[in-house]
Amino acid sequence: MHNCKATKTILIELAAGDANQLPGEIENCAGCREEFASLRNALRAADTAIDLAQPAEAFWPGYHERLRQRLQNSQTTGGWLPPRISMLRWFRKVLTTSIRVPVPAALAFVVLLVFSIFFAMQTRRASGAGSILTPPSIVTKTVEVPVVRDRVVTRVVYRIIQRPSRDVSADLAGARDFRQTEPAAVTAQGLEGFKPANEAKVTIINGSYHDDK
Amino acid sequence: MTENEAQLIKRAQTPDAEAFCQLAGRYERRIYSLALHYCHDPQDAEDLSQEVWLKAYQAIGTFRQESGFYTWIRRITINCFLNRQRSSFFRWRKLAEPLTGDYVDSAKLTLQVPSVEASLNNRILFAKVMRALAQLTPRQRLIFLLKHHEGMTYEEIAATLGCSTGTAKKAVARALTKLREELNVELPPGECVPCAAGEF
Repeated sequence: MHNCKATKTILIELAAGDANQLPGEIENCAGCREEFASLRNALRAADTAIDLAQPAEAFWPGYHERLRQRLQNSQTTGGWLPPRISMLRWFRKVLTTSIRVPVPAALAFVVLLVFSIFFAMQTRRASGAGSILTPPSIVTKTVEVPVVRDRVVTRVVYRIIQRPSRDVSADLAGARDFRQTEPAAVTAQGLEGFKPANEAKVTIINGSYHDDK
Repeated sequence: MTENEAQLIKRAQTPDAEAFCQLAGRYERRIYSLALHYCHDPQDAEDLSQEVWLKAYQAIGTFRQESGFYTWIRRITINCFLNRQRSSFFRWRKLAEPLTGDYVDSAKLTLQVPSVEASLNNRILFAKVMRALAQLTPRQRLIFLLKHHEGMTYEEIAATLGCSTGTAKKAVARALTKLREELNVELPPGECVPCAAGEF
């Protein structure tokens, strides 16, 4: 059964190609015939527009003269050479240059790269594991270690604890009375029964510490 | 008396700039036109087309006349286009800008039509076609131009651009779709190009 939507892509190809005759199935469908004619007309319009557009005749002598001049300049300079590119442009060109690589070759390269990385990691891991599994050699050695001994010093400290008086005013009053009365009492007690001696023994030491030497 | 192409090529290979200029004079309009529709800018088109001729002049010694001279120069042209597209992609951003009818004036193009009315219609048609082509990528536009301006087959395009024939067909199909979208306008009956999609 004819399907106009399905034949649309075929019509585009036919219109874009050089086919003037449509296949029988499409030829019998009025819609497809109109579509085909529409496509051909659009294409013809484009061709006409492209062909019609030309620079004015006055343009061509100048164009040809400029071309002749450039050709002669290139001949005098020993052939046309591309303009020298700066380092920056060259670097940019190197960075942005692309090359065509077939997809199978690119895939093979990627697979090879992945496998090489994988095997490298495996090898490294295996060598690391081997070093762990090897029994370590035990060496017994006596080492003198200086031990710091702490010295315990016991010291007895006596402290005089002065207890604060409860009543400060009473203490002050008491202290004042003691100052007034105590010297008399001390004098009385100290000189009581004191009898001065009749003779005094005096020892005179001649010389000084310089003479002793 | 004009020399034939083979003699001119032999002279140009000596090298003879005058002989090469005569050769260039035969094909410079086609190359410029191709460059113009590819670049959408007259100044770029002139630079690009002259670069093509300079490269051809440099390489004329390697031309063995196994193919036609135009086929050879077209191959150089395509390579120049692709190299330019790769090297200075910033410059090509303006191709994505929407084109207006002023493009025809800025390009200093003369539309090869007799009457003023027809000229106006063709100016509109030209602007619409250019707007449709501007919506394509430069590569798609190049494929479309090679197919319908140069008459190359899909196989030749694929071999030249290094892509598959399917890619070339898709690019042409996309160009056709854009053209149909843009050319949704009726031309006067006298015009041989009916633009409206589906109208006769």
